[in-house]
Amino acid sequence: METQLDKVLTECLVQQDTVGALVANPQGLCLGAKGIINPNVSGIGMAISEQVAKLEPENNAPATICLYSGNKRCIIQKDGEITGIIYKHATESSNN
Amino acid sequence: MEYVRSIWDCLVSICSCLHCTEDISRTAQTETERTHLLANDQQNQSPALRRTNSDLNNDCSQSLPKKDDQDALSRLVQDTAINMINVGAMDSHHLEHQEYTDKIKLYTQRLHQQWNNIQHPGNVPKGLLKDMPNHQFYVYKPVYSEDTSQMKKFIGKCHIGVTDIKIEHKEAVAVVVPFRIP
Repeated sequence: METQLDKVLTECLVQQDTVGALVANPQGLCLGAKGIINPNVSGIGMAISEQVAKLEPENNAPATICLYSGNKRCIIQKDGEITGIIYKHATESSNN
Repeated sequence: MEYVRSIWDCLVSICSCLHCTEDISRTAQTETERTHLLANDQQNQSPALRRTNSDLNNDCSQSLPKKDDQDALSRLVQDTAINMINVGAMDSHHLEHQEYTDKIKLYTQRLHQQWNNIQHPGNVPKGLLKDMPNHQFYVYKPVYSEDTSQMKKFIGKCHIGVTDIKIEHKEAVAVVVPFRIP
């Protein structure tokens, strides 16, 4: 069934500083999540990506959003019907 | 049709009468192109017109428009007269050359000012932060290239993974729907 997607999520978590990954469908429903990430953020992540797409409506390239918090950063991208959300540890350089 | 014609006749008589009164009053005060043709329609009406109106009211009280309609009509005439530029009173034939060029300069300058004030549709910014003059200042934190590339690869693989999702029917599903059970 969704083994391929599970594998992709697990591979993503292996990357440096990555703590969680999530995939959402066009309705904002979580298709899969791994690591330290709440599956409920799928809807919010998709809504943010849709709002950001309105910043430059004529640009068809998918926008990458990076939200910074105290010790983590959240990267969101919507490409076609899929929205990906990745949580990463904030590095020293990103805090400055 | 008779009704419309009577209104039209009334309008024509008002206009002609106004023209007469304008000629008389022209000596009293100097006119410009912006002087209103109708200062006050009631006062400017000649006795002949007033008599015509009263006769009309008496004779054709049934077919004539009501008071509200007449008011609306006179308001319309008044508005049109206010917005009208009296070209005959412009006195452009007696302009000195210097005055003429000064007026050209003045009007050109005003046009430029108005043109600059207009928000041209091509230059109007689009998007959510269009009312924020320097939005780069608020979003100065960088998006790292490694994050972007990681996300790009992740999304690409997810597309393949999502297409791989299939529903597997492992057991027969019997669906019983209760129907009109009291």
